[in-house]
Amino acid sequence: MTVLGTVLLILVLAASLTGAIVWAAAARAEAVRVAGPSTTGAGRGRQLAKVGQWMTGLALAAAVAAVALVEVALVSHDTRLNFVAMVSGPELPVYYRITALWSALEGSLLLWLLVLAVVSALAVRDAADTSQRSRGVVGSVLSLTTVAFAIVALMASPFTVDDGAVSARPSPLLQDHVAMGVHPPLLYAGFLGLAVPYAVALGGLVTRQMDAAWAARLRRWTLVSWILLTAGIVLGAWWSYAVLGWGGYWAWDPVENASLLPWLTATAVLHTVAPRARVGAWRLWAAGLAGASFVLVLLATFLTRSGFVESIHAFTTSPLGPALLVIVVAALVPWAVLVHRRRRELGDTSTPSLVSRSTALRVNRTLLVLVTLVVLVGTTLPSILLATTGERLSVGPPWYHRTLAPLALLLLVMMVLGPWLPVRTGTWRSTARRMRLPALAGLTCLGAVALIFSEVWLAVSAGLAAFAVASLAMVASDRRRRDRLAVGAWVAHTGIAVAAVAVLGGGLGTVTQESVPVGGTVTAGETTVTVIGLDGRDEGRRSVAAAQVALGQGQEFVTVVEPELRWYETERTMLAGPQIRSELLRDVYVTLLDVDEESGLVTLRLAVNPLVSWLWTSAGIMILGAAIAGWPRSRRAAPARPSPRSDPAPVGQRA
Amino acid sequence: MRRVLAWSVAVAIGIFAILGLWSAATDSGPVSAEDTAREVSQSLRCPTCAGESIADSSALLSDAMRRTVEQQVRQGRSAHEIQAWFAERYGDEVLLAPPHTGYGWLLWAAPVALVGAAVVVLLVRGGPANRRRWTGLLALAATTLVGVWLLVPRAGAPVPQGMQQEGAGPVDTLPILRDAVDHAPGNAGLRLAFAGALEEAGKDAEAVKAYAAATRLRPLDPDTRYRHAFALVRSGEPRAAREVLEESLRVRQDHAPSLLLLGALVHGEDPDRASALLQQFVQLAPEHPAADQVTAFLEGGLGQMPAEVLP
Repeated sequence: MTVLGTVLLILVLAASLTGAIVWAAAARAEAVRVAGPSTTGAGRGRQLAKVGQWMTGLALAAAVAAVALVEVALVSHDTRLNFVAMVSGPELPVYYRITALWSALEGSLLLWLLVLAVVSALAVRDAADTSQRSRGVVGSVLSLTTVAFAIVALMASPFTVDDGAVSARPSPLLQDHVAMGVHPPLLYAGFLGLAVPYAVALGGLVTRQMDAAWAARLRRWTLVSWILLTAGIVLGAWWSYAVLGWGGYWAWDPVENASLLPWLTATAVLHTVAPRARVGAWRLWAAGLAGASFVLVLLATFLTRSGFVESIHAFTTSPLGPALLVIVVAALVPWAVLVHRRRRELGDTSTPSLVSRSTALRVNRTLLVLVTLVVLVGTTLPSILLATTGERLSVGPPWYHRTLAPLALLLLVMMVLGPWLPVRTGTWRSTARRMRLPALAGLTCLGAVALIFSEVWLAVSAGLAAFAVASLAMVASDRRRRDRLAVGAWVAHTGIAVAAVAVLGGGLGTVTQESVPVGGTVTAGETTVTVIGLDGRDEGRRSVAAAQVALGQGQEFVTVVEPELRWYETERTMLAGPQIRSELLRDVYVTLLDVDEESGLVTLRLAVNPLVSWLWTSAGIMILGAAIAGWPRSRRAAPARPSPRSDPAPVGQRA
Repeated sequence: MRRVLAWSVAVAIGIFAILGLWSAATDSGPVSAEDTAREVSQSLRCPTCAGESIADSSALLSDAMRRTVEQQVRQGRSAHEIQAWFAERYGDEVLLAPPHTGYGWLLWAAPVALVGAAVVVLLVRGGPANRRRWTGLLALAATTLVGVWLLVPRAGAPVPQGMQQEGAGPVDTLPILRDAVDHAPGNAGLRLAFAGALEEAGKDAEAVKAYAAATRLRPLDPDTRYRHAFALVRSGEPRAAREVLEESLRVRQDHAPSLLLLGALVHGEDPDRASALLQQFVQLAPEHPAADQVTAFLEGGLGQMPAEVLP
């Protein structure tokens, strides 16, 4: 099994390496043909592309086989493999045996390789309608990426024989919740989907073919990755909220930030390559941001798997750090060099009107890049300082709130005003007249929320959300203005505004932690929990202590909930099993922290978290908006019309 | 006419929004010590966890640190003073917002420098015409940024003495428990908690009913039966208590508290039975707080039953 697995990984490596060379040759053959009229070049290019496609397919097949091999070993609990002995146990349900693949470093890198192989195969198929040269560059870049991760997978192979030295088992946290089967694969798909925009961007920079079709391809892949990434990140936040028992969903942990960074730049890409957003030096920005997104993805893998940053999410420290850093640099250098060399060619010195969508989009890009850089500073600078000066500093939520709040506010304002601005030029007056209804709705909501809750920023965000909702209603009900792009954009922006309201409203919650005897009561505001009984049971893999508590609101009884504490004997780990009662406007979150047999005291944490369910809903709204805006038009209705390079940026019909 | 009306409505809404914001911005409200303590706790890192604040962490050390924070807040110390106190003992690492000195300064300067660089790039690009256009927008953005910077709440001010709200008094959980019992009448644990709360409130008669219900739900549980009997004794029904206990001992002969209570109850009528029960009790639970007195009582020739033994 060890031999077979290693052979499969070497096959992935060999096929991708051959693929990289063949794809490069295909691109080159075409370049020669373009340079001098020769009929043989075209035929050779096409043949080479065919071989390249085979190689990419072969790499995919080998990666699938390798993953299947480990999965079979995991499900049958074949402990000849060290990896299986480490992550799986005979008492583990089948579902968690399958997901155990990505619960430790070696297996997660194998899954990573598989997703990358899938994405590569899809991307070279998708690029079939483009020029042989661009396709060659895309195929070559993706194959080289696969080569890099095949080497990494071989370095941390899950196929090593059991030498008896079973290292630390993964946390039972990774075997405790169904989300484990969904969250990592979603994130991986989102991350690696961004490899395609990177490759397409490099292809565009190399071949100088940066037309509307190029932009559409960038947009398509970025949009799909963005949706997957959004879902993955929010699912992770929800998991953290529902399982970890600390009552929060985002801790500004370095690894969480690492997933946010490519999300931010991907968002910026979408606002650069969308049909009505191609303004200014959009080609340079699109190529730059799309490339940066994947470089940031690679940085995220380095941060997660090197032990460089201190994080609860980090895998155990591994010797892979240097190899992953080399990959980051290898991806960064060609991108940076190409963007730098093309910057004059693709630059734009025109000065758009101040009151125009063009200006709004430039500001939006700048702000998103600034947010990305600030988060990047907070994520890496403490570790860099520690490595270079030995100075230990922490950067936590208070720092992020202070540094990001102003930028976030500007972004939110731009987000609701931008779509109302005329694409080219306009005046304050005409613009103000067009958006007077949403503005009045927003101001009304702002005033009302400010008066009721006495919270400035909650009121501002609620006003912006009302503005977005009113705009959506106006655009959707107006036959002349209604189209997929406008409606999708407003739906997505509404989602972001609702998320802002949920985050700010969530800050108004109350938390109490107290030790009480059975019959005692813990109070948070008007909400109470009264301990009515204790319960213990043995579930084999874990032993569970549960507290029955009666939830009350004021003098009213609401329901009985049963938060748990789960003790995993093998891993010697205690996990909380919080109970969450979700209501329309708030969550009541009860965590059992401790049961002291001797004194008979039960330690409970009671949190009332406003608007949490709005946050999960807002993510759904965002994804829905992105899907509406990005849903492919039927090819019959809109025949692809590749515009020549000199073609000015397509402008929306609504000017 | 309609135009005037529309304008009036717009102006009214504008004024409404401004007034709302004004009232929200000036309404400081009473700051409770708990809120301040929580805010400070959120800015301190739990030294034994991975990047959690002591407000969120359930580690033992965090718990102790939280208590210290609360104590210092109640002493009227400002958030900055408390943070400095912790930084002195645990190092700057304990602060989740790095200090503005030393290398921590770098972390605060970096975002400002980034924003500055972006502004410069926007201004330098595209010549004077561009510059003029951008200046207005940037001035607006800068004003907003500074405004937000100043308005984002900072844990800094000490809690004024006398304004600290004390936590609400003990909550009356009886109505909640009563509703809970109606809601889940089959839950014996709930009945017991309800009965306990009734006893505490001095409603012995009602407590007995609740205990009786719990006993019906858990007829074989000697602890429940014992508490039922205990409540009966307290509310002056020793006869009923005896019946409950006799039933208990038919199921389990080795329940020490029941032996003790029944022994004490039958002592007046049937000293021999009482002595047998109490002897059994001493054998079963020699560590029981009442065991010594019971032994003395048995050896003392069954005189007066010591009052402490009885409920």
